[in-house]
Amino acid sequence: MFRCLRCHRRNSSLPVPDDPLAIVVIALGLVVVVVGVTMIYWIVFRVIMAE
Amino acid sequence: MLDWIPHILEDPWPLVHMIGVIIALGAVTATDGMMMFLRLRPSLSKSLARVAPLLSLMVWVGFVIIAISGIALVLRAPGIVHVPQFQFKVVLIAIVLVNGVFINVKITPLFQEFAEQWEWRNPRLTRFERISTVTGAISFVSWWLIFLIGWSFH
Repeated sequence: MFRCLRCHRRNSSLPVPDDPLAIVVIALGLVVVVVGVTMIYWIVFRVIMAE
Repeated sequence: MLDWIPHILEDPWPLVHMIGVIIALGAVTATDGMMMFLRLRPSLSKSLARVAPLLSLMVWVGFVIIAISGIALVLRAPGIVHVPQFQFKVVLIAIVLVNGVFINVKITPLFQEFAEQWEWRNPRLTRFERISTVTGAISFVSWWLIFLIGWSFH
């Protein structure tokens, strides 16, 4: 079951889970994406290109 | 013969997740194998220090692919978050994330610095070797456990 972030109605088109634990897991996934992209940028531009 | 293609196009996320695992786990295993080989052939330190950032890059690319496809898979079946094995896997992912940032920010630059003087033993190098062995072991064991736990869901 999904719930809209704005109107809090169920079965909305925004795929946000109703379960707090699922939200925590998805938040961790988003943190991995943000940190991962930052690390990729850091390695490419500060380490590999700097040589 | 090609009847599997529409099936993958219909639901690409498990395959994308597996591609991310292959890239990241392959690079982690290669890095740890390389570091073990360095103990046998210390003269290769400079060459291995040049390859290390590329392998690190592959790990992060794989990790981002795994995270994006993982979010898609959890959104499709949010009930999986209540499975104890999955919760253990998520804890391991958090450990791998913190450990990975530490390796990137501290260990890899120090390895490049020490690579020039790898054969001249000194206390700083011994300490670095100890820390890098621990972080390498955490990375290797956690990544393989994540893979094996994920595999057990199938």
